[in-house]
Amino acid sequence: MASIQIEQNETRAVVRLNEPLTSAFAAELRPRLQEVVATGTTQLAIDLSSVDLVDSAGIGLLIAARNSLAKVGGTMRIIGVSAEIQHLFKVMRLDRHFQIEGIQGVGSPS
Amino acid sequence: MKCSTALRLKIPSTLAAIEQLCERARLWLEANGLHEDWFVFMLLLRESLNNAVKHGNGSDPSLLVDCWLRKGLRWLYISVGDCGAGFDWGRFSTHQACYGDTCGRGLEIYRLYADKVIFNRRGNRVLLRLEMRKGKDSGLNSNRAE
Repeated sequence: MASIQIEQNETRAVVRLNEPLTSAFAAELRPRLQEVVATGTTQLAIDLSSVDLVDSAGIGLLIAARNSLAKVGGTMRIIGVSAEIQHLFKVMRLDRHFQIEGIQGVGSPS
Repeated sequence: MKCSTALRLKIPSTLAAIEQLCERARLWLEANGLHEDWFVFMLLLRESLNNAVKHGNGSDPSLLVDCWLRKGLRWLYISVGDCGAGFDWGRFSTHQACYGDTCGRGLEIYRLYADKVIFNRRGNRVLLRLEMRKGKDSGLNSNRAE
């Protein structure tokens, strides 16, 4: 399975990741996300269903994508987030940057 | 087969070498039956390696990063050192990334997830300690997280 799968339909896009979102993978993903935003996407969803770890480099990349989208009036959601990553996002205050949906749907892990 | 409770590795300062070291660390965790500690341990290990490779050694592949991992009776330890000039760890306790910043969150992750963080005087080696979960509810450092 490819590390990055992109479904793009006019202004909507879903980017599915199949590797831990850490420094090496973030470097590979960065230009792909830039391309998605540059080609007119304003509603972006990043699917982390197959991702078991995100580090600060991955967090930085997600915020950079959100910043780029905000400049064109777009929005971003992170979906399929595991309980541990959801907890990380919460304590790092990322819920102020974008909507975060757990594997079970919107909400925080218990 | 008896597995070692300690692992020491030296790697060149590249992102690819971080990936290889993390794979070795994953196998070491599995061999020591530390499945419950996987997320927090790997998160802290990656943050410390990222800092050493990028900020400490400036991603110069000729400079090595020295890493050792150890399992004690109650605690897990990660120590990572680089060849750099070190950093001002006095700001460690207060540093926090601002809204919209795309970097600068590694130290905050140390604070949130490690039970103890010690830098050497020069600031080019860090020792992180985390309590093994085994039966605990959360891997997050409850004293500092929320």
